[in-house]
Amino acid sequence: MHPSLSKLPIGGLKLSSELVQIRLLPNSGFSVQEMFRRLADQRINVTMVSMDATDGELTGIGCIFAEDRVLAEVALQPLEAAIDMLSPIGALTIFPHQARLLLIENILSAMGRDGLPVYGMASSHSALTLTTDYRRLDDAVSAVCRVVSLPENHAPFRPEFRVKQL
Amino acid sequence: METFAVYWEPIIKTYGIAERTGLCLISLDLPFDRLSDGGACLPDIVSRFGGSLILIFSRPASPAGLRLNLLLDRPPENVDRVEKVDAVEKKAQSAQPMDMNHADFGGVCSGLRVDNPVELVYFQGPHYGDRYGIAGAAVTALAEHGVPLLAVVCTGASVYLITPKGMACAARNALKEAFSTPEAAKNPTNS
Repeated sequence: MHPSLSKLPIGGLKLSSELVQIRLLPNSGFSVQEMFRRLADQRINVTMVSMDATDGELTGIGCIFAEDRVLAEVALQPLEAAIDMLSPIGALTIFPHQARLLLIENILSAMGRDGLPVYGMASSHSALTLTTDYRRLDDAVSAVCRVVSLPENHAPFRPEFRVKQL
Repeated sequence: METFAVYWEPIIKTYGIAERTGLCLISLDLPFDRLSDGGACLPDIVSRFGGSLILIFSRPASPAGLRLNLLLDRPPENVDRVEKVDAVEKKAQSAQPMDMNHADFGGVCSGLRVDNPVELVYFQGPHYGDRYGIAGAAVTALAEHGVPLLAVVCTGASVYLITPKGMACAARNALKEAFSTPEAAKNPTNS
């Protein structure tokens, strides 16, 4: 088998609960600070952020838990024209990625081949998080598991509890 | 099923704030329907700039695609190479931006932009993934000190802030005022 077709070992795969992806639109006239401040005032956790200023002002995405959506809509009402919300979103976190381009390439290729959307990505030094359609999260796991190998006795896991800051 | 936790910190704690300089930020657009091909282009893009991957992040971009960002380090032996490629890209962008980029990446990616060099400031902290207000506090701290940002990336308990050349130190100092670091906790009079 060609090396690029071999399954690449990873340490684990974590799935999120249902999320909403908030996008601050390019050159909307509102700052990302204002968006973050309004969400923080309502104690809404933004679980993943991917923003860049390649279009001028910082623009991009942040994910919140689905149950915070109504509160977020109220908090962001003054920014209504500057944002859009996409749901239902699910996040898939692969760890560790170890900066392996082949791993990222194979994951994106597998998702693309199966017609699975990737709405956003954010990595850290250890983990790579992708957002996709929450209704197709199991399909995304199947696609990713075609190109990665998990440790023995490890299955992709969903959080069984959530810590929420008061 | 939820567990509620109460945090109260007069200043948000970090495990320390780190910075890296001499990095290269590559941005390009990838159509949603070419995801598979775009994945295959990644090694070409990175090898072209002679660096290794530090971060990858993306967000939706008009009309129907992803703006894909790659933050690369630049080994000293490849700095000249990156700057030469950078110069070629700038020339290409002003001349024939789309055609040049499409040709170079198998007709898949477009809108290539290179920010070079850039700098990175990053930190982690306790339970950041479960807490509100962390990214906002970081972005606000930099804005209040007039530090421009090229990108913000957060996942799990990590926060990454990419700045233009020469701004990482100012960014770090701004964050040290807004966040608690282990050094400041040991030497409170120095904070």
